[in-house]
Amino acid sequence: MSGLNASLATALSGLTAEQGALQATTNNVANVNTPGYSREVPDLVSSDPIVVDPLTLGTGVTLKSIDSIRDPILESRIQQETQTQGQSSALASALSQTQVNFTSGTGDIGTAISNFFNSVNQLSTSPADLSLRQGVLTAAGNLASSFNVAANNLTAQRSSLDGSVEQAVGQINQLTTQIAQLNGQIANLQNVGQSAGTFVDQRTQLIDQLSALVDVSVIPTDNTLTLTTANGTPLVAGHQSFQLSTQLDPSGTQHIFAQGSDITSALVSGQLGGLLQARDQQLPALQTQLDTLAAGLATAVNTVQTGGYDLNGNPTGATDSKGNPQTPVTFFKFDAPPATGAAASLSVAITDPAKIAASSDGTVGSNGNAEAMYGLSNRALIQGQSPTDYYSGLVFNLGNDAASANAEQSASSLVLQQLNDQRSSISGVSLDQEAANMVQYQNAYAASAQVITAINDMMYAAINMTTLTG
Amino acid sequence: MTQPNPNDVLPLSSEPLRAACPEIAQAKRSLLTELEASLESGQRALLARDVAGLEQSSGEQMRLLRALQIFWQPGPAQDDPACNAELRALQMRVLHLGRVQAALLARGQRWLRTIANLVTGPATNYAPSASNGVPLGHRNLRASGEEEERAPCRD
Repeated sequence: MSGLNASLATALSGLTAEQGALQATTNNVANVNTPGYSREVPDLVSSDPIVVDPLTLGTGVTLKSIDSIRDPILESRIQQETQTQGQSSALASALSQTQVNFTSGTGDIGTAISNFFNSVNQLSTSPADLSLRQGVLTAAGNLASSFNVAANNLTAQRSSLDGSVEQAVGQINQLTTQIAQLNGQIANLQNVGQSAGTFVDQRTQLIDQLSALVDVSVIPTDNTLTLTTANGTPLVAGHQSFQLSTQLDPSGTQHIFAQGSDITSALVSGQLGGLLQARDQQLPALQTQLDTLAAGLATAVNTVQTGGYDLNGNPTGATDSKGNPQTPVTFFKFDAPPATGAAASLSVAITDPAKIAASSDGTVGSNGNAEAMYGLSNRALIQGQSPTDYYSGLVFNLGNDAASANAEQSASSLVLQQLNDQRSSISGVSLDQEAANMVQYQNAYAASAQVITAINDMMYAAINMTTLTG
Repeated sequence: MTQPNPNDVLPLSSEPLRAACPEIAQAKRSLLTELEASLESGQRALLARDVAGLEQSSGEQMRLLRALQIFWQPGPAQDDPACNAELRALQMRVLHLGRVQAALLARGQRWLRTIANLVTGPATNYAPSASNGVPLGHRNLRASGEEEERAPCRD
């Protein structure tokens, strides 16, 4: 094919291609403020030439496709960092709530321990004084109560985290269902050679949201992608999504299951990973430390208590004054693990202030046992540390963990900010650039139109020439 | 021991110092303010993968740390509570920035490891490196006795 008609077809291909390119620019400008939108660029290619001996003639231009501009490696880094941020954010939030239990004030355990030993010290100055004895019981009651409150708060927080885990699993299932649907739509469009840029953008946004919740690995396959957790549990394969479920274990905590397998311990990143880390590692460790402190302190006080004499000169140990066996008069009582736990169950065992064994020899004025009890405040009772030091260490470690989680969160925010800026510079719409493109396509369109006008004139001249000669 | 003059160790921060604070507290504050600025610039360098900038800020931080160690001798707390509170807040900010820097450095390290693996190419064994510098495959061969059996064939 050659001649004026061929030239007309070539000019027409220019008009069509530039119109399509202008359409891409228009779409870019319209989506300049759309979150997650990747700018589109037209892929213009020369149409296959034809050979008319001895010449090879071009046949114009084809708009092969409209491609969205993305950097897959950058997307992958954003998803990874989003997972880290989700994890550190959930952990930091949980630990900051836990810290409230251990903030120094009138009702905290550290103050209650100091108050208890101070009251015992006061009693040692006047061991027969009933008001001082009552003061010791009150301080002991406050100490037990502060342990109970802290332990119960930790249990309540674990339950609350359990609820958050269930909620996160629900959100994950919703997102994986949507991603699977989009996978199907993208594959259908790409199979018929259509651009699926908008759907790919939507899917990328959903994967970002999913990354904030759970550790996701993205495996691209032909026209679609597969999502798994870091340990390989499938979440989405093509247009099919695999739902996660939660089940209560015998201890009453929610475990996460995928196709019948318990994957709870394998989830380490994303919000879910942070929630599980707080629920299954940080809080139980703290609870164990509290139990150790409560049990160690109560046992030591009980040992001293049962080695002395009460206000009436009666021994408080396992034998009475005549050597007959009796029930020892202990100061504190608590349930040893694996029952409720020492911190949650700690209570004062005696109600009568006269039963406090301040005397070491049975005389009313003796304060030997009260002094021995006060001496416990500085003795290495719990893992080589005094009760106050052990508690300080517990609070310090908690503060340290919370501060580290906060710092991780800040670092993730900084990195994510930078990565998102990079993504914007690659995939974002620049209005200046689009304005320049628009002028370029407009001019090219106008030029093609001008060519058509010229061909029209030439055809007109040719037709006139034919009429004259005819 | 004579106390070092803070002006000999470091230039004072450009920010106005609290006149009510004792001289030693002002010096500490100045050092901490400078350390805060240095950590922030270190973070920017880390994010921008600016090795020269990171090296410079690390050098500054080492210098400031040495200076702080001189000033942070155990001793009685300052009398001025406002001064103490201000120093405490500054310390907390510096501590947080230090933690953030450590977190960013850990990320940088992971990134470098990934790049190193990419650069090394697909032939590299991703398993943990073999001990004593003996390649894993070589050791396995020796252990199984295959090497001895195959040796004559090479001749």
